[in-house]
Amino acid sequence: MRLKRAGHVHNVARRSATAFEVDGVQVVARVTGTGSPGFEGETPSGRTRVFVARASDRVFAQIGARSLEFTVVSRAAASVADSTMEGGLEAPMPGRVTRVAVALGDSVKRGQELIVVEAMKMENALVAPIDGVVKSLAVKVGDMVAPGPALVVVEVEVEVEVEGQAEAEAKS
Amino acid sequence: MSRPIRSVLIANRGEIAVRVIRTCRAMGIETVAAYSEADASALHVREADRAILIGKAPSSESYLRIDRILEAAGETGVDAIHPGYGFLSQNGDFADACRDAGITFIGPKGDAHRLMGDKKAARQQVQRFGVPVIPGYDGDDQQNERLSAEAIRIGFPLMIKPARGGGGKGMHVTHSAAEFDAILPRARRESQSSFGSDAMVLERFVQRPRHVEVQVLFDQHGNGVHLFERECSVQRRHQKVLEETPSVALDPDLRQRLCASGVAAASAAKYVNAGTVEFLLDSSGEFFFLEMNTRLQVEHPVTEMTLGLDLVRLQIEIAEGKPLPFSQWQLTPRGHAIEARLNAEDPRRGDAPSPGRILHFEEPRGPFVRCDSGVITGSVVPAYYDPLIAKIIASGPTRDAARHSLVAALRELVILGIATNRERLIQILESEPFRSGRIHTGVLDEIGPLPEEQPISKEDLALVVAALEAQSSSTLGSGGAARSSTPDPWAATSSWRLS
Repeated sequence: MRLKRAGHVHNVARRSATAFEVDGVQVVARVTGTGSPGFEGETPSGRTRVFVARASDRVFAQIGARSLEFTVVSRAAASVADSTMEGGLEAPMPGRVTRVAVALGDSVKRGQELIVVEAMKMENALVAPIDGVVKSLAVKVGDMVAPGPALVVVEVEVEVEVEGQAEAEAKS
Repeated sequence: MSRPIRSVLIANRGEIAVRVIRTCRAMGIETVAAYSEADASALHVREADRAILIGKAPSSESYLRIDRILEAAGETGVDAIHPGYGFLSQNGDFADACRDAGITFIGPKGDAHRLMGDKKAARQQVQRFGVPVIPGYDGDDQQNERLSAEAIRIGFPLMIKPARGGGGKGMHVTHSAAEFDAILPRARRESQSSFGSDAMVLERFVQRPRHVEVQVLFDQHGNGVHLFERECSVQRRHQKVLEETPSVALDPDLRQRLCASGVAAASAAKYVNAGTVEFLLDSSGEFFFLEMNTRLQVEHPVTEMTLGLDLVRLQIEIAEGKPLPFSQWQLTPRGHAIEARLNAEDPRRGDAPSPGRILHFEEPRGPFVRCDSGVITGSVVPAYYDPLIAKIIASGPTRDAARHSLVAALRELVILGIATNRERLIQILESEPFRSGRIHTGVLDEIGPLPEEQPISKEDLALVVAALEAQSSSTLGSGGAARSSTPDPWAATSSWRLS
């Protein structure tokens, strides 16, 4: 299983009833209990409470007093993310689209506002992560959206421009 | 005037609706939840004896619609309406409309709401009753000489503000008459260029203020008491985060004077029912009237914990016309209580709201721990309303005991599926400024943001996967399928062959 958290993808594979291989290292861990409420986790570091829940590709956990959130990464998704210079943007929270400031095919500058999502009376702007072109736009004003699917995808136009951008950034 | 209340419609949602329902149930009063489309499966709707849909999800089309709520009250034939806090709770027209419809409004009369809702009128009225307000000058005579004289009368430190200004622009803090005279011309020029007027307002600058408020309770027979103070200095952009009682900033003499001012402010409004008078307390012990909240407060449980009283029950009894069941001298708070507000928000993303489905919710337990929740496992936190989902309150013989208890409760509380400020609350409770009690309304800037997320250990990663596997296999098992060694459907996609 590949779990992504804070920009890192971790590989976790079961090796036996009490052993896992985590990012290439052998780890002893097991859980007991019925899962309701939660499990008892045991590792060489000690015992702790473990709560987990999964909703599609999102995994939520609480280990001891610590809250954790992961995304389950499939192999295909991982390779796409690694190999392209795309900026696909998902909703930061469930909410309603109150503004769509760009159209398909528009050229956008890094930091430019693309879509505004409102929830609980707070507005959150999705901005272009890179200079590029709007390659796909999946929402319109009034749509209800949630984190997960890309609402808008920005792709780089010409590779030379990216290098120029990178150089400009390096100098600034 | 005495009229028993046998049924109550709750014109609110979330934890406060559930909390009001609990007291009604204990009193043998039937409850009706008036709910919006977004709350059809909400906890307060499930807990009420009856429920009635009042409109669409946006509160402007449901919880803020006086007409719809009164229609619902008429249809269900309730005796009374409890407004909770927020929404219509401080709306004088709503209180009047209830009265005109022959329904008891559990709260003060319309006039008290309107007086306290007009900040300038409220300030002038409470001043007549001897309640200190922040000294200031906003007169028409704008001669330099007059302003200098007023500055000396008001005292320092003193804030000069553009009369037509806003947003903190063009404000200056001065510490002496000489400094005031030096800065005034510049402040006027700035005001003229920014706001087109060089009229200035002067106001005493309250340094590192604490927010201390007084709970009051008045019956319909002119009897009034205070239920002591609460301190709510830990705030984020004027939103309270932690509340406690007693305040560590008060000595017995100051407490007596502050609470007496609270009672005086309520008397000034001919107040009836539960209300809260908010004050700013400066570091020298001087306090100033801020405003009066003409309703039950979010943080009322800390008062209930130290006095052993149910404020909602008292609200209902007052609305029924019963006299207060105690006098001031019979009220003695015991110990200390602290409340933490659990919000659906992400402290690591600028406190952005985090509505969504709660996949698992486990309330903390234990002696002297109380949890007022508006959610359970499976609840959906809608994007339309306030992010408050639960309040965790702990009490103890001392502040430190209550604090430790609350930290333990917040560590025990489990919430999966949405981001919350749970870890942020623990961080604040364990911070030096909070532990020592040296708090003020800007203390969160001192404490700083939640530290960057730490990397996760390999053992914890293994535990997460082990628990996911165990959960998935027990789900299959309960469905009647035999347990296998690789029971989970997604295990097939986990690429354990890769390094």
